[in-house]
Amino acid sequence: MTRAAVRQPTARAIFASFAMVGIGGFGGALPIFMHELVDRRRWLDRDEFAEILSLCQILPGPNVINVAIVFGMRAAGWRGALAGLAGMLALPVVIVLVLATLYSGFSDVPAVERATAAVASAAAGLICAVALRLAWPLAGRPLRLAIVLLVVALIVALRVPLVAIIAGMAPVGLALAAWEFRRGG
Amino acid sequence: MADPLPELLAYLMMQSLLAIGGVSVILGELHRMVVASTGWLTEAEFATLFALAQAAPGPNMLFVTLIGWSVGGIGGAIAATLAFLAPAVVLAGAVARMWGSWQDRPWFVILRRGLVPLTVGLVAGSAILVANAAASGWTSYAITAAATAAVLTLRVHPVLVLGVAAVLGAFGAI
Repeated sequence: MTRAAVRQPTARAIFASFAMVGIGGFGGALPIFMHELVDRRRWLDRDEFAEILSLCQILPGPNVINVAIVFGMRAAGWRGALAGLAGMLALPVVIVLVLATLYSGFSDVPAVERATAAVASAAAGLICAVALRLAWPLAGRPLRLAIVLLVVALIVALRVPLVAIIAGMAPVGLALAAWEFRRGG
Repeated sequence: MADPLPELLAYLMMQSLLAIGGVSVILGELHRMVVASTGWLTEAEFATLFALAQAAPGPNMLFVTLIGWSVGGIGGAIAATLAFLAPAVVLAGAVARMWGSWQDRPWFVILRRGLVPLTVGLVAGSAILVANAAASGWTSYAITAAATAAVLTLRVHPVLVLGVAAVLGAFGAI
């Protein structure tokens, strides 16, 4: 993240920003994460976001948690990392505990069921948008696109476990990147 | 009966190391442990808590929070969350500290770039799975497409997209 030096978020700004990610992350934190860091705060550009997400994907632990730690640490040290985690989790933990305590009251109302179904479909659309935005730079690179399509097929059609996909496809992606790097790419 | 919380916390710390990507990959194992093996949760509780964790905003690791709550109240919820986070904090923290000095090293550049197509594939694949799981008819896919388009072309805020979907859904318009 070479540009972090130019726009240095403080721990407080990280907390506030990640609090937005936390409470906005319905149906998954990834779309709002990208919106907040790349579009709104411009602390990362799309490619930096893709790279940090990719590394955090293979590290143990939830990917967005790892991104919060890595980004927070890079931007503002341990305080930044803790601010990122606290922002992302504090309110959601409170909300989910309140929801769990109340849940039996409203789950059967038809309007709630319809709203939930609509939100679930819309949330899927948000994830599609993230996938397309991240895929955009790969448009003119057929080998990379082939990897993307193969991974999609393994997940959707063959239901290969995630760990197996990562173990199998990470070396392919790395070999491709190493080959291009050596050729000056 | 012995307090199950310490055993749960130790278990969660270990499972965190396997939760590559998110809790989705360890759901089967969590079910095996907390429902089948120990009986800490019933089947119904497991499903309900998972749905709640998905419905609530924030990362889906909140499911772990709710398991801790079920086993040990609010203190259990917080302890379970921290236990699940601990390995990630150590490992991701270490990577973050080294990032600066590794930044321009060829192996690190190759690692960062080389994993991007895999990540794009994983996100795209999960988008398709989620769209299928949420769908109850062709209108569901229309909602998914509309949400995608709204973000890509109009740059609508993600929460606004979901809010509009919720309102239209509640009133039966979609």
